[in-house]
Amino acid sequence: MKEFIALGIVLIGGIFMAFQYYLHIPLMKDLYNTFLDWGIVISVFALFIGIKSLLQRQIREIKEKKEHLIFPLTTIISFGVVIILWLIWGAKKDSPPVNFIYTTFQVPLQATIFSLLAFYITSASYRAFRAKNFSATILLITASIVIIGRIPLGDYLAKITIINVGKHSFSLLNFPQWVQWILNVPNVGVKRAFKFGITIGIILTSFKIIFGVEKNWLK
Amino acid sequence: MLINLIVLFLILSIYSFLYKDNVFFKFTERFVVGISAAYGFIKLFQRGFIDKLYIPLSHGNLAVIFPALLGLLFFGTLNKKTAFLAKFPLAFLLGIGAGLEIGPRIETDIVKQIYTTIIYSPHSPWFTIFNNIIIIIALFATMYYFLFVLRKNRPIDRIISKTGIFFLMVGFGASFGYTIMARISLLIEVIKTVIHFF
Repeated sequence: MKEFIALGIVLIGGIFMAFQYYLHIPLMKDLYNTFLDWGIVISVFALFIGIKSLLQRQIREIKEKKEHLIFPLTTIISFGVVIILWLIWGAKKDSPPVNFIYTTFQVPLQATIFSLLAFYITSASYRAFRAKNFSATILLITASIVIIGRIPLGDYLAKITIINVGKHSFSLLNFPQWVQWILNVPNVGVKRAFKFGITIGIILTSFKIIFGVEKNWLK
Repeated sequence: MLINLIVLFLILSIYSFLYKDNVFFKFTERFVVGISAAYGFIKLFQRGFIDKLYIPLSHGNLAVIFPALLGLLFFGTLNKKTAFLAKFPLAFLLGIGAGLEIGPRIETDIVKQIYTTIIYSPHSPWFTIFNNIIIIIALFATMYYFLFVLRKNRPIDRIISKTGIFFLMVGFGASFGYTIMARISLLIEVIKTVIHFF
């Protein structure tokens, strides 16, 4: 019975949201907006559960003394300090201390974490960029053109290799233009092929969820 | 100045991971997790709880009590006996999420993509027509390469598949080069931030 009710909610909600896109009825549009707002309200409660799990895990680590106590304590304290500062400053939308922490700590530190990948990609390039066969050579040439075309060296090479033929002038090594062509023409074709595949997969998965074929989430 | 030194210390702690995993990196990682979780919580709380629940309720819109009650069922997971209650709000989110994907996806990712691939003006310049032909060849060759349900024994199949691989390599190379440049840009930004401290 419980399963039946849950699947019924998915079926009704899914069919309504799918159909309202094609039926331009004002009442359905209002309901659509209401459902979207309801979805946001419900997800806030899910967020509480997520935060509870995060803190519970840290507390478990402290109890089990698996590693240094400083690590779980750091997460709890940093989380708590931000929340407390937000509450002290009146729990407003634009809380100055929260914005300060965001711009001073979160933005540069997250950028640093993502920039770590630059080193790993460089290391991976050293191993992958080898013209072992035809396919690897194509990959190497394309990636090299894109990299050179995106740095000042590409512009410089384009400038110094300009030649004049009659009234027309063109560059022999116009890397920036080559990059634009690669990104806008063959790359678009490949991306579109991927997009078709991914979209068909998403739509079929959505149908499977709506019609109760996919029920793993109920376990 | 003190805050700049703290941020500098945290940035260097993250880069210390390049040598090996260590306590400084772990400390900074946990710190980022804590502040990111708090920031995400505050933003969603404002957007969901205050804007969509508290304000409508204070204006007399009692309909929002329904999603609030449905959301409260998530707390059923706190007890094993009532854990099944969390499936109902989840069902609502899954249902509307799955339904929302169908219509716009078909229109923007399939119909419009096919339209922009095959429709072009006959008065277009020759290079636009040439580029369109390349896009069509790349699209069909790539899709054909991934069509595993067909037996590809004929020479023409091999030619199309090889063309597909060629365009795939061009696409992967472009994406790879682009990603490298994006990450290097981030690295440069971080270095600029550090230089700015002094």
